[in-house]
Amino acid sequence: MALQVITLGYCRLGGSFDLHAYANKISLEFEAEDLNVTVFGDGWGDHMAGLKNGKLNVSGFNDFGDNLCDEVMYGFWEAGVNIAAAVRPSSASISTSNPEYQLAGVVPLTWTPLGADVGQVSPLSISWPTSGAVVRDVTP
Amino acid sequence: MTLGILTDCRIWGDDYDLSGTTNKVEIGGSCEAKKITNFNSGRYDEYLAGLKEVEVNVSGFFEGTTSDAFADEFLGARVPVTIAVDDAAGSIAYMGGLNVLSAPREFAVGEVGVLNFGAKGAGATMPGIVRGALLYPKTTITTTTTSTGIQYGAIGSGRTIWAAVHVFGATSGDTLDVKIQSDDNSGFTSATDRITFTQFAAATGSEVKSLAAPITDDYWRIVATVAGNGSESFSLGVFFGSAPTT
Repeated sequence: MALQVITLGYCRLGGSFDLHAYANKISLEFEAEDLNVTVFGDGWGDHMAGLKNGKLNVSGFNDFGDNLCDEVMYGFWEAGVNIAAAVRPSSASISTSNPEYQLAGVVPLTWTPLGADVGQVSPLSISWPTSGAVVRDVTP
Repeated sequence: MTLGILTDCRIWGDDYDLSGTTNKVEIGGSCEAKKITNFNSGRYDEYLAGLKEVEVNVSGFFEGTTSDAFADEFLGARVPVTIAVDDAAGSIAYMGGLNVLSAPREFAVGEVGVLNFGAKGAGATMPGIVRGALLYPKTTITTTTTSTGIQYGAIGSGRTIWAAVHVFGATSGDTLDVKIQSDDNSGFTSATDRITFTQFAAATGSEVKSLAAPITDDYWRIVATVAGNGSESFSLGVFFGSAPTT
């Protein structure tokens, strides 16, 4: 068993934009719909896992520099087109201990460029649902 | 990457400069998730992004001639609002035609009065929010002025240029004409007029105008022409940006 302290989280959007450069927290949530298929005669509740979906959550700081975080992320939200995403615990190469979750698409539902008090750094915070398949890749 | 601490955000609403009474501003863009899951989705839900919506929340202090007067005049109305992350030409800024929907005031003994307002992008005649830059920071001018300009970049096809002028102060009997020019060089050796605002005749206010792209010039500036009785003085600021043409 190889536990690891996360110091090099990785999240790439659209095949080229490294959101992890602005992030201090990345989380992936996966779930399947709970389908209750209990029928008469069942002594216990009977369930099946239905459709799967996920959510990509990233938080950190927004950077208003040219061609940097705010410009790219606002562009994603403005275009309103699903974006491929890749997330793994470390920016090191993919491996069995550093699996990469490849999301066919995340939906850019929100972008909050400004949300700070005077004297603070404007935060980065997204919570975008996945759309389509998710692949767990451990092949370098 | 160079992060910046927000200390000089600009918040302009029509002819009000709310920067001096604001200590927090939030701009939130969102859109609906439209489920398109079908039998070929491979047991994964699929979504498309739907209609967009913008919500702006400004927190600050009650001040009779600015924040309170603004809220009193525009609650329930649509108003051009420009929000910039800094007070310099070229600073990233956002502009929208917002409906001011709430403006609660709070007064507590021993405390400074609080006034916040919440607004949503209207989206009927212009996008709810446009990302761009401060083309001209708030400046008081007494003679015809041509700004240095910024290298904002060319505007590609499929996009519309949006510009807003906010006039915060004007003198009686005088006029202000503002236009936006572009060129392919920082010296503006062959500047082209792109957007001309309606003349401000001894009056404050604001105006939003648009222009269809593409425009290949990447340098942009304003020319503010002042005329009158010899003691002209106008205070103005200009936003410039673009959004997909709808």
